[in-house]
Amino acid sequence: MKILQQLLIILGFTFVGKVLQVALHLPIPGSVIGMVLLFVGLTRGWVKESQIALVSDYLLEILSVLFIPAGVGLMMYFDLVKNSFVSLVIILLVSFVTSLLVVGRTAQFVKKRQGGTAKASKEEPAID
Amino acid sequence: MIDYLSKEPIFGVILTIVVFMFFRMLGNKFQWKWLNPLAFSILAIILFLNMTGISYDNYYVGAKYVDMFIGPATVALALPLYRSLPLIKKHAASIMISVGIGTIFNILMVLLLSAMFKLKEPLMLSLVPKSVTTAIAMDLSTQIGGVAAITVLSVITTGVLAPLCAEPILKMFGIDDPMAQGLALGTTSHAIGTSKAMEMGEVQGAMSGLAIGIAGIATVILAPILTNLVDVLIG
Repeated sequence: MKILQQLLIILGFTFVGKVLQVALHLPIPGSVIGMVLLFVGLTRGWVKESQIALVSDYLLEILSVLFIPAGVGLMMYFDLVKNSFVSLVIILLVSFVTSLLVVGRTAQFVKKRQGGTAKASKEEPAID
Repeated sequence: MIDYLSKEPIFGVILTIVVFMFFRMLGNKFQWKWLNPLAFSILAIILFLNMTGISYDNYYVGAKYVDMFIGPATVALALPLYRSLPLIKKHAASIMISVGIGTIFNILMVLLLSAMFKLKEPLMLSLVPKSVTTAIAMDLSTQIGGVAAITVLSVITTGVLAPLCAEPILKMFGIDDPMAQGLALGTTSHAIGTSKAMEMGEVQGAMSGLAIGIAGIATVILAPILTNLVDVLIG
């Protein structure tokens, strides 16, 4: 029963997210709306971590497998990809490397400025 | 006979799981970092279906039940995000600013390069969500007019770039702060980047993990706006 209850909560949030997306014509995927709702629910204490942890962790563990069917769908789009293959690889590589640097540099910059103004606390980013 | 049996729903499910487990075990056994089980499973199954002459439709009779759980799994991503809440609160400014700017830059870069290479529009739109976690990327792709299958492949390719080249690049450009390294990896290469970040250290791993969720939400909100904007500007 425990697993069924947990699954029901997760499926419930998924469906409510979809309903909201359709009803409000939102340009955001229903599953993402469901995720945000569950996140809010957890922070507000409406849903307890122990009420969903078992099924959530299970779903996240098998996450990779879930994408295989969609990926195999590529076999239907070979022609579209084939002609632009080299451009695709270049776009992916260049945007990855530059974005990596932009995020890293920005994070370092903001952190240093904060450290400089706010009484130079030499705080190590400890996990707590 | 093959046609009849491959329409059996269990066939698609078993094929999906068996092939994935095979590559996962292979990668673990030989410690091959480049062997991404998802990418190899997809290619192997495409090859298998082509060789046996089984159609995608037949495979999907069963595979759709695997597909179906992407939605609930996306919702479940709320849990790791919730678990990292203390960390998010502590470094709110650095996280929000760097992930936000990075997401905007990333999307614009994809649109700009796609325009330069004169990519067809559905292809371009399929690439826009390539840095976020597959679950979110797929849905978003369909939403803005892309092709989910191409998005999945671009997400995986982007992810695999992280273990291949991220560490030397970060070092070369003086990004040595563990927090910055983690945020950079999670924002640009989702869960695969995060597994690389975990290898680099505990702080990197945690930061990368929470960046996945934040970058995902930021991309969902920003992608439609930015694609429209660029569309208006470039035409």
